[in-house]
Amino acid sequence: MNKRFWIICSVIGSGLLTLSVLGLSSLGMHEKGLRAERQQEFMDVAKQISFDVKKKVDTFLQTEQGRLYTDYQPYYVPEVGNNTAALVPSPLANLYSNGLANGYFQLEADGQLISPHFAEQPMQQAMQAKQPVNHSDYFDNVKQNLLPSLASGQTVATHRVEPTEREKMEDKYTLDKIAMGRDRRTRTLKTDSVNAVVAKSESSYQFAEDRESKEPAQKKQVSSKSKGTKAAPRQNVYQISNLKERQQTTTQVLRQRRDNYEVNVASNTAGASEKPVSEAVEIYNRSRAAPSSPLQQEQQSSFGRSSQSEQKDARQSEDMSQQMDPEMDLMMMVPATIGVDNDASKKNEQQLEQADTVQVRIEPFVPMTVSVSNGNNNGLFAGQVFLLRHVQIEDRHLVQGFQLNEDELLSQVAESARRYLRRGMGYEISKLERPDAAFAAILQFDFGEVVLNLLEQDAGYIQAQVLRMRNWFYGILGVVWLSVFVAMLALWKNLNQQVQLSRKKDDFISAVSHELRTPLTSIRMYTEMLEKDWVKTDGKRREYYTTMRTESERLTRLIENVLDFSRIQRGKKRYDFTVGDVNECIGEVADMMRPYAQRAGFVLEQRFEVLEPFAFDRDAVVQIVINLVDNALKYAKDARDKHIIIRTRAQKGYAIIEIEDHGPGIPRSQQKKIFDAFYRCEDESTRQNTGTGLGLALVKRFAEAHHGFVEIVNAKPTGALFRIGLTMQ
Amino acid sequence: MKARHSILVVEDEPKIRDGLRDFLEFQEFTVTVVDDGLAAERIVDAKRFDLILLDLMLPNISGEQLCRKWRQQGRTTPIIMLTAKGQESERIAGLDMGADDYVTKPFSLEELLARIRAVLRRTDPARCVGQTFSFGPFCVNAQSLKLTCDSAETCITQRQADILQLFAANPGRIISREQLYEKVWHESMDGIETRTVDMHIARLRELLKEAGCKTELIETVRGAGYKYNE
Repeated sequence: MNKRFWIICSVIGSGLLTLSVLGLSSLGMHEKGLRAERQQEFMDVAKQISFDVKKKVDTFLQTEQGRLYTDYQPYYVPEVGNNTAALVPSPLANLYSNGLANGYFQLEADGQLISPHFAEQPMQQAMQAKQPVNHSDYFDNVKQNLLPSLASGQTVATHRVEPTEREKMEDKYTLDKIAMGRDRRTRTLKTDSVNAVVAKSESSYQFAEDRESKEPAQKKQVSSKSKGTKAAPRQNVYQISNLKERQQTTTQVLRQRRDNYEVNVASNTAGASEKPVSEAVEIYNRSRAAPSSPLQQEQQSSFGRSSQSEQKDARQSEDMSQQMDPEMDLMMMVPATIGVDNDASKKNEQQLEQADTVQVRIEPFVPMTVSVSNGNNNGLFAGQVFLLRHVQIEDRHLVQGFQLNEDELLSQVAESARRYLRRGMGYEISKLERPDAAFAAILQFDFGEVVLNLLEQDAGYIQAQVLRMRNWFYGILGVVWLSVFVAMLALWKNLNQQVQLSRKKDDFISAVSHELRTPLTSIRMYTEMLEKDWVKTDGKRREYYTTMRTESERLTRLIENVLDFSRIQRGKKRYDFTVGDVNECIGEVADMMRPYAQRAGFVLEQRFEVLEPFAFDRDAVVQIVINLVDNALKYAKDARDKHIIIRTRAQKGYAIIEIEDHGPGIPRSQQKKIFDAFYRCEDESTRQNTGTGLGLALVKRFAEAHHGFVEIVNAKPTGALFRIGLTMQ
Repeated sequence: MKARHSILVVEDEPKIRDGLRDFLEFQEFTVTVVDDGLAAERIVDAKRFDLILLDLMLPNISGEQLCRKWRQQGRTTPIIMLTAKGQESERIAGLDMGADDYVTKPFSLEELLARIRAVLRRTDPARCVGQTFSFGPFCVNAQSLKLTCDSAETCITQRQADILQLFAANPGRIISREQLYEKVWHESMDGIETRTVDMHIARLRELLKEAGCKTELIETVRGAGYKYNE
């Protein structure tokens, strides 16, 4: 049985151990899964923020791309059909900071710088309404940093990573360089008009255009400077390819009424632009009144234009417009060509139109990064970022643009981040990846790139989750192990009890067998001796007869005990409660046993108090007294004081029966067990006294049948005192 | 006069003990009774018995323990177990412990007597080899006390005949001085400092040599006793 138990324990233990190991392994996998999931969250957030920021920037650039070139001048004449409108200030006059743009300006080929913010009235209003803008510093900055860069022919620096390293770009780049004079280190194709400008003045600016690519400016080449600032190889960098997909912007070609154009030019040329609006209006009126005024001639001569060259330029412009991509946005500022039916008149009108209008060609914005002159660059990019566009009106070349408002860009990123960041995430925009960043994404713009560092605000977030899960796991595992341990312990205890019970029953069978066989052996032996006359004397003969009788009685008692116990166990024991005097009953039993006691050298004393008659089972009481006196005779046989005292008394509704001997007594450790069935104080093989282990068990059962009790106390000086209480009802 | 066999009865139950004593004495055995294991151990150490009737359930030392101990000590006294344990496994265990017979209670006195006689016969060397037996090149007649070799006769004493009979019944087995003393002199050597056995063996060797034996038939095994080499 033990072997089977240990096999079961081993199997269950092995199973639990395997489950525990599997559980621990699963915990490890779960941790990895959580980390991967969190990483994916960071990637998703980075992607969302990047998309959002890119969308905002693209929308802004698209809006700016659609802005009229006249918005970059302090005053302009609105196009209102054929009627001539009044000269009005630019809508940008009081918008020094407009979204991502900071300080609009326009640069003439001769280096003349004008700005819509020079308009007198709006600036005053702006200064009253907002924080005073020190735009003179800004334009000084443009003059000191941007213009020299344009003039020096240095390669424009950006943060863009070398395209060939980052990706195998198919479309390479498009814009590209702004080179100065003949110092051209990049491949450029210059238009005739540009050549003309170059020929006219060495100090003029050239605008190179990569005609071969025929693509709007999309990418920029990284200069040798940019390589120096390029970030180290990054880990956890997600290439947001969508950022590379720029909004397709194309060169715009528009037409404007020549007289309006000329008035605009007159109103916004050097000097005029810095004059009050009243003077500008005066200039405007003069030009309206005398189209061939000295001013107009001055303008024409200043631009080196003749009527022939004008016509030639117009034709060139028309050719250029015809050569342009048909998808280009061709928009007429003046709707003079609409509504003509026949070809002749159409041609006529076109000629007239060409004579009355000028063609305005606006190219897409290109970024340009200019190093800060004092070297203190606290911005996100390699330098100050300007977005410039090339505007060509007939043979006149302009650069219009603004400086990128990095603070606004940061606030846009912040706004996107607030929208998309998830729990426990933080962010930071920097030039380089932070080593402690959970994920770093490169936000690529045409004007450079910045690193969006996504930070795990609670570094122990996953660890805490895993720890929580692990604690749960260990808790459950502990409970399971404990439960199994307790179950196995209970099983072991139960098995032991079964084994003990089985052993007790074996002992009982052995004892009963012995107790049955012993008197039987005596009876048979003496009977045989008597039968065969193997008896020496008559005295022996009588002794043999007496022995046979006593042994028969002993046998009877034993059988009665076994049968009674069996009946009690099966619930078949019937009690016959009859009202009577229990003292009388006990006295009869004492009288019956006294001769045995005397033969064994004992004195059997009776100390009875008067008891009221009550209902009791006579046989049970007789059995109780016989068993207890018999025990006293057996166990106190070597006692010095060979008195056995039987007492009765009434106490608290009980009839108390006490049997006291002065033998060795019963050890305290065994006093609780001796009333158990089959329990014997001695080892069966070396016991000194006969018995089956049923006598005291029966005494207890009989007492309980009388709603009473049985207890054992130590007698003084030695010995045992059994006290039985029977309910007197 | 017929020698009376001595029997030790070890029984804790007084009625059975007294009945057995009466019965065995009536059958002309010398009977000693004890009622517990300790007393039995003491008396067996002090006195030699031809047979022991041993109950198994005894106070202090059980019958099984006593039997095992006596056999381990080399005591060859025949033991008949008298017990209430009548199952087959218990009988086998009892016999394996070294008991010569096993009788379960309740038993027939006649049957017990027959078993006692059988065991005594089995353990008597004379019953094993007979009154006339061979001992090396000699022919021994324990009744006429003659030792014959090649028609030459030599007279021997009863003690010498008993010693030769014991050796002839146990050829190749080592017999200790104590066993020899118990079997031949019917006394225990415990507490006795005597060289009687050695003297008798030496005298017997000389006799065999004079009778014409050229080999050492009785070998001395140092520290153990004597051994008969056929």
